[in-house]
Amino acid sequence: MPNKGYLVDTSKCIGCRGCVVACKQWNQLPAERTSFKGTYQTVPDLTANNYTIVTFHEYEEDGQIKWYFTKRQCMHCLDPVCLKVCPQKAISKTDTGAVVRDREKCVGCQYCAAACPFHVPRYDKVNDKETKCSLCPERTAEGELPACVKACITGALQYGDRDQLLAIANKRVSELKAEYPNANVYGDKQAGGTNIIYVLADKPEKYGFEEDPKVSIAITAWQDIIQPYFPWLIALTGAVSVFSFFSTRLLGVGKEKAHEGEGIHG
Amino acid sequence: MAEEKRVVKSSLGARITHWSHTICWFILLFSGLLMVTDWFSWLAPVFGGVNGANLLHRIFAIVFAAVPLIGLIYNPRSFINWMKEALTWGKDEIKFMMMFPFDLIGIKVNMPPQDRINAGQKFNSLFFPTIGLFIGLSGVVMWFAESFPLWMVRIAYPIHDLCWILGTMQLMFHMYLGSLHPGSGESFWAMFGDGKVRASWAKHHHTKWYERVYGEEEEE
Ligand code: SF4
Ligand code: SF4
Repeated sequence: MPNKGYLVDTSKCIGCRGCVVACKQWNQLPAERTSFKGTYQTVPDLTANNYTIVTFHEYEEDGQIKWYFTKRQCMHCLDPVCLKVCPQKAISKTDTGAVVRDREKCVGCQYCAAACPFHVPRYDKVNDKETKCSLCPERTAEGELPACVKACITGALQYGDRDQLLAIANKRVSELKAEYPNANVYGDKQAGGTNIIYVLADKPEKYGFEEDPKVSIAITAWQDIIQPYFPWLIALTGAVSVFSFFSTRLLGVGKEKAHEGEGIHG
Repeated sequence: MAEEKRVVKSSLGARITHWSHTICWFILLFSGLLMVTDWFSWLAPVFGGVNGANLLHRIFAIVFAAVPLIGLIYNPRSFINWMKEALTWGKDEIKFMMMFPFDLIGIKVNMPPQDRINAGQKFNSLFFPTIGLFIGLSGVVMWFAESFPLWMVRIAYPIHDLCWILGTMQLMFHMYLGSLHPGSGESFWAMFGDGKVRASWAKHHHTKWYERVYGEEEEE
């Protein structure tokens, strides 16, 4: 099966947040009380009850207020580091490349949250589980669109094969260049490539994205060096101790000193 | 031999901390292992599942941190003296460390006279509190991950891992040297029992200390 995901074309998004509502409805996530902070962004951040949000970034440019809004959620990485660090093997990829979590197996250790280069997974304190967007595998398996894509009224969200989405994105960016010289495709190579592809009308930072998000070296060192190799040190010291137990006795050191310490080894 | 004089080597505070940390370390180690690998899943029922292990890990983490902290508040002098002892290194200590590998495998060497705690124990006395400090601090960051900046959470994981691995490694040595290694039986009971060792043993293994503290008594 080819990798599937969806395209987020920010140049077509009107910031209506229909996708946010559809996601909450489909996943049956309760409402959360928020307070007005002087911005159009109603939900301040991803939370355990908000798998997707629309972020609003406002800038004053040439005496004009400019708005940059975009949908945020799990990027469904081709090589997801959350999957790699999960000690319970709770995270897996579906045959279309969606990154999903087995709620039963998740123990809420939050390793995945810290490891994710996009800082997506959020901790659900009530149930002691980590949460994030799953790309609606239960819908797509039945030939349905993900809830957010289905709800999008402007066509800013488009579900399909990753390769085709990339081609559409590249074409769209070249069209946009005339009016938006900084337009770019995001997700084609970030963090090793993701199944969610963005068409951004301006530089990624403007939308609160990192230009080149990378897996932290602390996480890499932890997963690739410390965890696989260092525990052998414990075995090594155990082996040296066993060796010493026999060699000291064979060489007679034990015998000679026995009168001093019969307390335990007689 | 039953009548032989016995001298105090480990104070009550030291013994309580040692006892509680021995128990805590193993509970924390196995409940932690349950969380980080699936090699130990057969142990899960003992802790009431992985989530039970998770809870126990936190409860015993508090005990692990609280016991030395209470001790520190109650009797800071004792801790300071212990650290002073552990930080006093001279020729005899260095010689001891260099000859130690031979002693370990059973080659007979003449160890230089040692203080109340020998050079190896001094190393141990510095090593474990350091590990304890780092494992505790990184643990707090992991526990309250969402209240700390992301970079701190990210380095807390490798630090916590390094600490338990190096700590358990040293613990293997420490357990062996403190119990089954020829000539260490007395110290074992000093830590886990009433704190006392036989005078003749103390004189042989911790000559400097014995002479200083109990030497005059003997002459009387
Ligand atoms: S964006 Fe984060 S949570 Fe989503 S697949 Fe990538 S690493 Fe995992
Ligand atoms: S919180 Fe759950 S999904 Fe995330 S790493 Fe831990 S066990 Fe895995």
